[in-house]
Amino acid sequence: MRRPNGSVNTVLLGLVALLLATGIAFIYSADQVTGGGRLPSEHWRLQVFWALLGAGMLAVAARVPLRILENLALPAYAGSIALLVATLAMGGGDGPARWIRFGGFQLQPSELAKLGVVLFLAKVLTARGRTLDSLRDLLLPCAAAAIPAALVVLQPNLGTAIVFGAILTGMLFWAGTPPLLLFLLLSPLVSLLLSFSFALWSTFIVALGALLYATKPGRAETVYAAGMNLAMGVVTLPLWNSLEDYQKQRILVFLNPESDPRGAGWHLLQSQVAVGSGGLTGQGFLDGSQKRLAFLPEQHTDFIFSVVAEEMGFIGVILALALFAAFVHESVRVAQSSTDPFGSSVAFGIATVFTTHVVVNVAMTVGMMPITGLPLPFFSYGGSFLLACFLAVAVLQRVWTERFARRI
Amino acid sequence: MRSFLRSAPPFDAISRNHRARVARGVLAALLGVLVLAFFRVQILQHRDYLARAVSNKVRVVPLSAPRGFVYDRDGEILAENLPAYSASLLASGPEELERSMRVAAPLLGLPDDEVRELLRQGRVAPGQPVLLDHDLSFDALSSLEERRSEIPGLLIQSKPKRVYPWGGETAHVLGYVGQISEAELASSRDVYAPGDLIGQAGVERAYEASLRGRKGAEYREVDALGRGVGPFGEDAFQAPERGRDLRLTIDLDLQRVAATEFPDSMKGAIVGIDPRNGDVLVLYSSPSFDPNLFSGRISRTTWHDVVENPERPLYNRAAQSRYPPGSTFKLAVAAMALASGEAAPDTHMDVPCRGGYQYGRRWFGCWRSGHGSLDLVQALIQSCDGYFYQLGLRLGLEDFTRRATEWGFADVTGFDLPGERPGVVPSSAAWYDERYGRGGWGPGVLLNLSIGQGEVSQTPLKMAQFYAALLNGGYLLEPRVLRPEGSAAARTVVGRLPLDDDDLAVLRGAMAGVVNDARGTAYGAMRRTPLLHAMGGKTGTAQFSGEEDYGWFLGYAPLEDPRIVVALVVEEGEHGSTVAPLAKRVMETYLQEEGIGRLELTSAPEGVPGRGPGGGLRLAANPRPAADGAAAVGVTADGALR
Repeated sequence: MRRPNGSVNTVLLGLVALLLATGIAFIYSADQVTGGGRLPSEHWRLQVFWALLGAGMLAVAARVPLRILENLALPAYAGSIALLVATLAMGGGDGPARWIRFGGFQLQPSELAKLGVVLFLAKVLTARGRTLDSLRDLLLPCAAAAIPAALVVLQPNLGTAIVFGAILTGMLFWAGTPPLLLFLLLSPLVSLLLSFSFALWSTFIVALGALLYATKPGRAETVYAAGMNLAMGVVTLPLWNSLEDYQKQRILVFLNPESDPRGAGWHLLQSQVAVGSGGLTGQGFLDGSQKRLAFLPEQHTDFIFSVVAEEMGFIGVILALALFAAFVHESVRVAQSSTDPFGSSVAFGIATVFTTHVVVNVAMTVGMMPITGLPLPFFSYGGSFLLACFLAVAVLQRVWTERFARRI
Repeated sequence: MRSFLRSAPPFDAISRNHRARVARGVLAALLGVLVLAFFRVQILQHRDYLARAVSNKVRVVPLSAPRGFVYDRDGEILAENLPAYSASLLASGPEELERSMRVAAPLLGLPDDEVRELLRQGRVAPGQPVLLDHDLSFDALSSLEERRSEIPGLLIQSKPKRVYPWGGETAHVLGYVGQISEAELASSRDVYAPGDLIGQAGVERAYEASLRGRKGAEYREVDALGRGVGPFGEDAFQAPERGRDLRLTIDLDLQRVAATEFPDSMKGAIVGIDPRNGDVLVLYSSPSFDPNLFSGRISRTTWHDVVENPERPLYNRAAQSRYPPGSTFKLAVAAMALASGEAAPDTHMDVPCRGGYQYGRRWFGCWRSGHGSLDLVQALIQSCDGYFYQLGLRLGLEDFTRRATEWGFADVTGFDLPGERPGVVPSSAAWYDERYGRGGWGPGVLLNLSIGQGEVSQTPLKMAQFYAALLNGGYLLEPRVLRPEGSAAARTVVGRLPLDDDDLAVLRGAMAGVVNDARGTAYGAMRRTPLLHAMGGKTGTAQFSGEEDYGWFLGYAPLEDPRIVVALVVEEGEHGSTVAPLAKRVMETYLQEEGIGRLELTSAPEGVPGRGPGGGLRLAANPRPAADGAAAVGVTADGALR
């Protein structure tokens, strides 16, 4: 592929256009229902409108210099936190409190918060004289991600919290955090997952002990790793009990979708049925029966990829994933090409956000992950999310434009 | 060792390139796992999920086939179908079933326990409709339709309802239909579904396979809420196939006469067969029941009333109840004696009847104070116990029981309706040893057997079969209610009595005498009203300790070329002669209908039967005036045993 050298990354923007067009085509398909108490709809028109609006926004936002973005990082971060707190304060009635409404307009602050966290972390991680050699060095970035993560968990919105964790991990990695330190930082998560089996967990603890002995990290790191991992093993069950019923249900049903085919597992199972019935070549565009008869839940938004899989089959899945892979690849290339540490960091953070969304969403449609409510970038119907995606692409484009303006 | 934690220079080109490689590696790994997952679901498990997708969206709605009609021998309708509407729920899962049930049950007035049972049914057989009501009232139908949108999976189908226009009068012949039981369902899941109606007794059960027809099916595409969106596939509608119509040998008029004239509130049975071919012309068991009750969704109390009724109305007494045959068995004893050569028509016994017979230290009584010395024919006509005790002794226990068994008195008749019970008769002396222990019984048992008491008991149907054989040249024929396809003369022979024409003629002469000889035990009873046709027969009285005697009558008509044999038992009906007029009415009705000529009412009274082949009997249409008085005496019980 010919690499663009100019100030406009045509590959990136071309991929966005391709993804959007494909996405809108499948939203159109998802509109074609003949059952389930749903009427055929025209979501696709609205999505076109959002896309045009997003493109306009991109054209404007891509002109904002990185320096301004860098200076905006703290206010953007603080503003995101404030909006998340406001969302919680306003509450969401019966359901999760994820939206802020003003007038007829709805805003999902968590979408903006992702960008805010990326900008802020980039600023923190590339600050002059910053080292990443010890846990103490990681304290500020961790806190910067943990605060919004905690706020969205309270909504409750587990999916977005996962995204914050992924952003932190990805950006720490990109900023040069030593792999061992990164591993020690994340090791409590491994303990958490393994704690359901005492044998696995104790094996892991022994291995961790050996690693600590062999590498002899600092005292703080040793205490953290040992303490947190032991605590995870002990704390998991009370933590489990503190989960909302529907969250537990989602996790349990994820582990065994057949157990509750009409409850939360119903959605996972129906998505799997749609995907599986697609076979190699699919049932044909617009012809997916699971979709048409409304067996698919949220088929315009969270489960839009199930429609792709049902109608276009395995081949369509590969092609769609290839598009996403190319897009993420190009985003990483932007990060890689940028000689500006802040810009490079931001670009990689954005690549991480997109990757997380794609992987978590697609894995959900095939039944590999629980339902988290993370939408699929450029495919899922929804204005707030699409605009956030465009904003992110605008930033990527800006980083690309300024890639040679080396500051250090 | 601190070197492990030394961070690399963050943003030089080499580091960026290195980390980008790692990042792409991670991305490739993640996408690789996703692709594998899709490969597994879309390629490896494609078939399973495709099947699931189809079963998701396709509901098979079974279409019930109308049952075949049942007609009597003259083409009168005995069982038919009337239009009715059924309501069932075809839900996509137990939750939906429960939700729909919550709305529908109050509209139909279903009690809680039935709702629970139906919900359980739905769980046991998912994907099958759960039948709420066979026969919706108009009100229920309209209130269901009104709230249809709240009852996903509601199926309202026109489902013909089984109707028996003659109700209890034909109940034991036809049987009834009822919802299939789980046990029946388990053995025939390919044919039936829960809630299906299936023949439960009588013709409905015996000929279920013919009557039920073949179910059809409608393939409907449904959406996620279980609402139909249209037909599915090219063969979306497979029409049901109506069941076969059946023509019976039963005669409705006889059936009605038997039912209406059977003594009120008395238990018993009457069965009439054509001795030429085994056609069952009439079969009525009392008390009866209304089979229409079972066609709808029967309420628990009604069910209880019928099934748990101590009078056992569901029981077909003609083929399922065994009674000691009493004196009606004397024909069998006499026939066995003739066949063995132990007696001839003119054989007298050593000891004349003086109101009984002294056997060893026991006195075996006769029903009458003393018949004196009689020959075989008169002993039959007057039903002399004293004679038959001695005749039995002449035969001997071994010979008696061997012959009785060979002649089929321990077998079923081969009747085509279900549930027939075989007769009971000892097979040998060893039979008694087995039952009472060696030495636990005495030779007196033979005397009891000789008058049809003791260890012998037979169904009315079995006795009718035996009497028919005496009239048709000795052939034991399978009784049948289904008219054979081909010639009406076709018959199924299950055995032949080793009697020659002379023997049979003697026995027939004796039976004619029972009705027509002034000394005959049925003479008075049969002539209380003028005898329109020449008839023969034999009375019997079965004794049970603690109950009134059971009256038996076996009759046939006309004497020449008999067309009908009737066996009648009335529980606690006192004497055979008391119940005989009902048999007479049934036989007369039949002969009249068949156009068999009546007797000349002017013919001279003549009661003595001849003794040769053909009987040589001339018939008396009117009893002699004196016989009326005699009847009062003569028409009393026979076969007393103390």
